[in-house]
Amino acid sequence: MTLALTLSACADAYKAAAKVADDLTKAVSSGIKISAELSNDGVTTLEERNNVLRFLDKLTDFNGVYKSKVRTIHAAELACAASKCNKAAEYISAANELVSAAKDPSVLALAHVSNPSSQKKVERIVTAINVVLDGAVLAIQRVKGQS
Amino acid sequence: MNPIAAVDLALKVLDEILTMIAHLKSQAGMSADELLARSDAGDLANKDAIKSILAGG
Repeated sequence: MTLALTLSACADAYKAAAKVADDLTKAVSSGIKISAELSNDGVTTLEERNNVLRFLDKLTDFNGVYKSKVRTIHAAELACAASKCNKAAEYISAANELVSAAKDPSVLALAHVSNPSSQKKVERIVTAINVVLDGAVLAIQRVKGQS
Repeated sequence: MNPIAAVDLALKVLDEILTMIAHLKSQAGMSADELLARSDAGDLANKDAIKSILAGG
């Protein structure tokens, strides 16, 4: 029973961590669609639109690094004794690193356009991504708290 | 904001909410490995889309 509960808690932390990556991918995908619209609005420069796309590209790279860490943590989790397998703190650390990278001012600076109306569209992208990032650590912590 | 623009914005917000609900529902029965695999495929598609738009000028 204890073993089953411990393994279940591990699996849940892993799933919570994986869900963050999937949510971020989805948010970036939506952001790309909105970015593509920016080039047709006549007020956003090509360079501004391209910077928003570079912002999304960087997030995708950060997500790749994050997933690699999640997979490494999970592999260690599977290899260790069940009684010591709670790696929730490591998943949280990986999520924190993702959030720090994504919220770095030099990265966020790319998501800025000069026209106020277009900036509102860009803010929709940033807000959707922030919802994922802000929920990332909480989602894993919630699972950790249940274990 | 004129009424047509307001309706347009409301529809876009509704569309985003419905898309997110569909996304969350689709995650319900998936394992962590499946979620990561789907994210991998999505990230690849996103990188390709970004590259394509940037190359298009």
